[in-house]
Parts: sequence; structure tokens; C-alpha cells
Amino acid sequence: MKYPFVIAIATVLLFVSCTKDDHIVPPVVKPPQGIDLNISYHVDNAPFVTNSFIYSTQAGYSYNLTTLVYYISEVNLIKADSSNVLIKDYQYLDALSSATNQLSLKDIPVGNYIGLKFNIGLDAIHNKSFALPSTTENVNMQWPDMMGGGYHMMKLEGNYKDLSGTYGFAMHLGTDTCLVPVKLFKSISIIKDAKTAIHLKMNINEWFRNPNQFDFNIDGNYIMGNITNMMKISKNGVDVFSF
Amino acid sequence: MFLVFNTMKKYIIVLVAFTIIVIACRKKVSLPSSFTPTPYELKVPKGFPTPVVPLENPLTVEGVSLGHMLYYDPILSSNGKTCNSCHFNDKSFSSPLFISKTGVKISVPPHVNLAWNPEYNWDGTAPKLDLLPLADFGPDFFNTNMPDLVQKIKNHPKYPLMFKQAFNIDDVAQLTSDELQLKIVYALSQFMRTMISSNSKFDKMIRHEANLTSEEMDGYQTFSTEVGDCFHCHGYPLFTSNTFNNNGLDSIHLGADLGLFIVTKNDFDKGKFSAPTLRNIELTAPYMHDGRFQSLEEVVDFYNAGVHWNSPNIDPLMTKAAKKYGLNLSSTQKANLVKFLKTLTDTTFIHNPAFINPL
Repeated sequence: MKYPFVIAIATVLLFVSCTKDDHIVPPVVKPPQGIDLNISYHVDNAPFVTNSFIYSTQAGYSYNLTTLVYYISEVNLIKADSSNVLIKDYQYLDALSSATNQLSLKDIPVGNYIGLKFNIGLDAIHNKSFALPSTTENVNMQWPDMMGGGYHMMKLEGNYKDLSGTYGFAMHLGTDTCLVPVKLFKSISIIKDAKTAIHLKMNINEWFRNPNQFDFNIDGNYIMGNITNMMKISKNGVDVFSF
Repeated sequence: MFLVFNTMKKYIIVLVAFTIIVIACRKKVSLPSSFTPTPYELKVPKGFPTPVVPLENPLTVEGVSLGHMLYYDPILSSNGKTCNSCHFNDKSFSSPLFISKTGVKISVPPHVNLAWNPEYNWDGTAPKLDLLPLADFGPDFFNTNMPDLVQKIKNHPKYPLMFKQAFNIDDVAQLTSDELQLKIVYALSQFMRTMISSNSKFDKMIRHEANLTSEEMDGYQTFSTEVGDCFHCHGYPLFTSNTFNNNGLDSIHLGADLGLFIVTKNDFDKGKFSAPTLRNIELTAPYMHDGRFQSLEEVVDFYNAGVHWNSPNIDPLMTKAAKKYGLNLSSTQKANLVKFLKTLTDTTFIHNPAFINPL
């Protein structure tokens, strides 16, 4: 009679062991530390909107905006010893698409940093024809091989008014020469298992001033392929961003 | 008596056996209880972006096959029309001009590389390819009698099994008219997504399989630089940016010329139309949304000197350097530009056995 007793005990144990265990607490998975990078746009004191002639360049032209798309690349945190920590290789951004302006950067090394540096446009490694995945955005940013190849660094488009009428402008930057280096200093702390929020702001009017006052009628309303004018805009781009 | 009974018994046995044989040999009409369609792997040409394929209508071998057949079958209409009635193979699956019953002229868009379009129709009125052909059941096109269509499909020797294999539909009569129409356009759109063109002379040049002539190269130079500035809206590989733009066709926008505004009701979208692909552009005359230009030469002449600079919402890119409107191309440059555009013609596409009439 001892066998049935053993079998009964074993059966009970088997059932108990096979039932779903509700008492196991799953380990708390903390998100790795990172940066929530948010980018917003404005024109001096006015918000960024399209199709409204509410802005003025330093040269005195009333203008509106229709398009602002660009890349940033080699996004680095700057350490106190001037060394860098790469946090993003490149990113396509569309000022009209909120989704592309909210970046979640993960696995950032814990530590204190003194600033952020990146390029507006693609670095030389990525700025080669067909170097990027063939997404619709990348395909539409291609810079023709006959004009040097690679990708547009930026397309800033809109319309401006002068005494004779309304005209379009297209500030298109391309080729490695026109890469815009940006360096911003601010204390940034990356804390273990926590997210650090960084808000970058682009003042679009800075593209048209400092160090070069850009005059659509004198310098040109259409700069693609004109290295002199592209470089003027490129140099102005160094300080378009702020924290 | 016994003999008669015995003879009758033999006849009965033979009759029963014959009946059994007849029943056993009858064509089986029952459908499989369940069918899992085979995923269709779209061959994306090198350099092309990822195609737009919605989750609710994935491509399957059986769905594409059904769509291929329906594309050419007048069963869908009450007037003998098929998709092919307005989308001719030799016109890159477009046709010269469609005039609606209200008199609106529409240049029929070609069915080429539609798998990459985010919106459809010149004015973007169809947000999805999977819904685009629904309008074709209306009086302007098929004028479909749905009860008739259901019976025709039910009694068709192939379609019941094809609908079962493509969509697991046991009996099309069990579907509502809307449901059946949706399944039909799903099949059509699956087929249309497979209609890929990437084998033009220009593609071959990119793949180092062919050379352009010096005149074609000159045209390519105009196309791909600020001289002609065609590439911003018609860049490689799709030869469309898939954006809506006002290229300055008109200074006033009314009716069908309102373009994207019809969908968005945004004043800034008046006069904006979808930038069409230039692949097979040689085959798809007439040009522009209303087919106002009969030849590529006329189109180039328009961009060269016919842009309405005062068109509301004209695209900034239409203003060239030094506030010019127009390209100022020489007659040679214009002619060579047209020659280049003709290198985008893909004859293997229009003759592809996978796209021709299977009926």
C-alpha cells in the first residue's frame, strides 16, 4: 500500500511544480541611461510656422518658410579633458515632423560632460553617393554626382518679398566643404539608469546673419552649386543652435 | 420468375455500380477547409527604398495571381471595361486621356513602381493603393452590378478557388458588397505593387551595362544640375520625390486645378499636384494632371519659358538664381534633355510576361 501513497505525493508535487508561479517577481529592468534630445525651431522671437510672411532677414526682406530638412552627424558629448564620446553617427531631421525631432539616445556612458558637438550635414564618411540606406528621405536628399555627389546637408526653402514682388529662395548646402561644425557648451550629467533631457533650439534667422549678412538679391536666392554663397550660409550656420 | 428476378438483380447491381462510379468521378467542387497563402517576396531593385506594403494587405503569391487576372477581366464591370481599358501595357499602363462624366480631363497615371507611392492620384485623394481602385466600381468606370458580380464569381471555374487561396473566402456570396469590393481591390493592389520598372537604358548605364550617347549624357547633365534642376522633384531611383508641388502651371486655380487643396482644404496647397515619376515618361503622354501638353518637347518648353511666376503657392524651387523663372536652355539643350528622358523607357517592363493579359 505504500506505492499508491508515494504516487499520490509525487502527483501532487508534479501538479504544484507545473502550475504557473505567480509569486516570482520579475526583475525590475531599469532603462539604460540615455539622453532624450529634443530639437525645436524658431525665428528670433517668433515660432516656426510655414507659409506666413512674418519673418524678416537682417538684410530687410520679409520671408516665409516652406521646408527645412537637414542631417546632423558625429554627435558627441564633450568631456572636460576635451575628449569626445560619440552618441549618434547621423540623423535626418525634418523641422515639420515632430517625430524626427525627438531622439532617444541610449547607452550613453555615465559621467559629467561639458558640452555637445555635432555637424549640420553629413560627415565625409557618410556623405558619399548611396552611402546611406535607400530610405525615401535619404533618396530625396541625394546631391547629384555631377555636382559632387553625396547628400544635401540641408534644404531650407521659402519665399521672400522685395519691392518688385515675391520670389522663392532655396538655401541648399552640399559637398564636404560646406559641413557646418557646431559646438555648444553646457554642463550635462549622465546618471546611471536615468534619462537626461537636452533641448536644442535652432534660430533659423541665424542662417542669414553673422558673420555674413545674407542678401537674397545680392548674394542669391538659389545657392546650390555656388560655392561662395554656400560657404556664406555654412559659416552662418555655426551658431544657429543653442541650448 | 426466378430468371426474371435474377436478370433484374443484375441490372440493379450494374445500375448501382454505375451510379457509384459517376458520383465518384464527379468533379470535386468543395474547397479546402483552410488555406495559408504563400508570402510573395517583392524583388526590390538595388538602390530603391523600402516599398510601402500595409500590414492589412501583405503580398501573397495567390493574391498577386488573383489581382493579375482581375486586372484584365471584364467580369468586374457591367460595360465590358477592365483596368486595362484605361491602363494600356504599351503606355506603361496609362492611357492618353480620361474625361470624366463631368468633363474633367485627367492624365491617367501609369501603373509603374506604385509600391513606393505614399499617396495616389494627382491631388492625393487616395491615401492608399489598397483603396484606390474602389472608385472604379462607380459609374465613371466599371459601373459594377454587385449582385451580378457575385454570381459571376461564384459560377466562375477558377475564381472561387482563387479567392479561397488568396483570402480564405469560402463563398463570396457570404460577403457584403463592400467586403467583396475590398478583397478585389486588395488583390488588384497586390498585383500592381509587383509592377516594377528598373531596366531602362539609364538603369543599364548605372549598372555599367550600357552607355548613353553624348546627346543623352548632355541631357542627363542638364537634368542633374542646376541648369535644368529636374532632379529635386524627379531624382533617381524613383524619378519622383513623391511630394506635392505647384510648378506654376496656372496663375489661378479653380475646380480640378486646385490640386491637393481638394483634400487638405489648406489654402497653401492650392495648385499643388503629385510629382509624377519620369520612368517611362516617353510612353505616358499627355502630360501634367490635365494632359495639357501633348509631347515632352512641350513640357520642356513650359519649364524653359512658360512658368506662371505669379501662381499662388508656386514652389520656391521654381524661382531660379537671380530671381529668374525659366531655365534659359538652348534648343540643343532642350532636345538633349528630351533624349535623356527617353532613356528612362523600360520596354522589358511593358512586355513583362508577369504583367500581360493572362486570360
